[in-house]
Amino acid sequence: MEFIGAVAAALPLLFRRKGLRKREFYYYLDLCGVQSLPITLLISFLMGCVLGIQSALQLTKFGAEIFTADLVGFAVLKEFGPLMVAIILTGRAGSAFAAELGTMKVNEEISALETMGIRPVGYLVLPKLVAMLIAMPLLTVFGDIAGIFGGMAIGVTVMKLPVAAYWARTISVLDSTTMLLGVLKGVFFAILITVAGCYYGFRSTSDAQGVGRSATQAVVTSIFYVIVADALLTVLYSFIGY
Amino acid sequence: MEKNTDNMIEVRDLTIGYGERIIMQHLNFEVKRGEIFGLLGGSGCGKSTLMKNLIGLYTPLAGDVILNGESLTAADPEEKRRLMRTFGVTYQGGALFGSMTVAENVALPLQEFTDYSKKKIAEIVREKLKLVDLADFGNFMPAELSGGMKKRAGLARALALEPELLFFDEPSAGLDPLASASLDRLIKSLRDQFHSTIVIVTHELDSIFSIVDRVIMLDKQTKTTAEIGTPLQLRDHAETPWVRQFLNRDGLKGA
Repeated sequence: MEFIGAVAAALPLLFRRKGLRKREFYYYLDLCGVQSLPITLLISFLMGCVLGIQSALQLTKFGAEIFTADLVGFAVLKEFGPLMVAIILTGRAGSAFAAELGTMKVNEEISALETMGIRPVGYLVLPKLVAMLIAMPLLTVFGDIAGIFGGMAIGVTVMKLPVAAYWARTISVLDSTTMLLGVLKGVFFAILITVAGCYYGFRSTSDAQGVGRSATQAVVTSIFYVIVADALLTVLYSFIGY
Repeated sequence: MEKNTDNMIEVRDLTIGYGERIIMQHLNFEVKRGEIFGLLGGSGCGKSTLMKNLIGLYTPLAGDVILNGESLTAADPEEKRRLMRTFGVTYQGGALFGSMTVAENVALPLQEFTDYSKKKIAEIVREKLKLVDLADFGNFMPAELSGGMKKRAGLARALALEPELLFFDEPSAGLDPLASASLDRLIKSLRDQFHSTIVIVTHELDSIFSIVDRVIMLDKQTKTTAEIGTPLQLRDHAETPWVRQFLNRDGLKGA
């Protein structure tokens, strides 16, 4: 909690000149965003396939194959798109943040920042947080699209549904609000993953094993909180009719 | 509080430790302007902990650290950061930022805290790197440097804002005798040329006798100051037997 306070206290620094370090920001945007895109597309596509197969198995019993498009579409936009991206970024970015900060602590780099009169939280966490806040929603959109295509691939090949029919069904049932609410989940997940990764990085004990442990704790904790937040948001969304 | 211009650091009844565990208590000493002051003691007695309390990384359990007339202990976070900018710290392993080149490391405090132009910053960086004999290594990454070079690069970074007060955490640790002697000469020349005040944590007898003006000996058993004085005076006339032994390397070195 104290750490979240420190991050919040550092936020005004963003609006100062020299507040956000450009080079670090681009580095993390590349790490969390660009480099995570292929794996996001692949995993979301496969997730769409899996959902497609499971839906098809059940729905053919009722002769309602075309509803695969509904099921896959909603499941991907509302749950699996943001969730898969969150899990990928926990593994890719959250653990990297923890290991990076832990190593900096071992090398006394964090002490050096402090004695220079620079706030380590502002200096080290903000570029990561802003990069994640930009990368996560974008990746979620890409993941959503890949997931829908995954479902479509199954619908077209296994269930022999015409591409045009599947596509028409998909776009007729989905709307942008559903997608935006899913993307909004991604924003919350981005904050959780960054805070957990950095928190455990700063708390790391000053030895090699400590860095390893902090990376593990960052991943476990952030997956846990992502799932909890997902459940809460899903309940919340159901109240407003989504 | 009256500004005492003779004392760069005043330590008043300082108790340091971690949580409940007290490492050292009732420490009282001052570091005079322009002097090289050594923090000495056996391994694990709390020299480094004491230094971390002096530079504000740890908060003392009790007592006060006064830097240049201003209390570091009582300062609020913003004040404390301002006070911290007035001194430089050289860490054991250099503590260079691994993602930046040596020159960028040295430039960082200048970029953060001054409005100098890029050209002026580059000039200062060159000058500081030349001072520590690393003029040709500005574009190297820290990982490409040897241990001694990292320490010197860390020193260049600590000097960037021209502090009057410098702290060194075991500058000789892990260096061969030649490298550590040349670092000692560098430290001494900083004091002689720029009249810096220097606090140094060490247990290297050669450094102690060649560059340190006064030392405080910390006693692990009694958890407080054993002796304060010049190295030679303590070596020959200290009242505490182990201090004489320590400085004589148990009598093996000719007294």
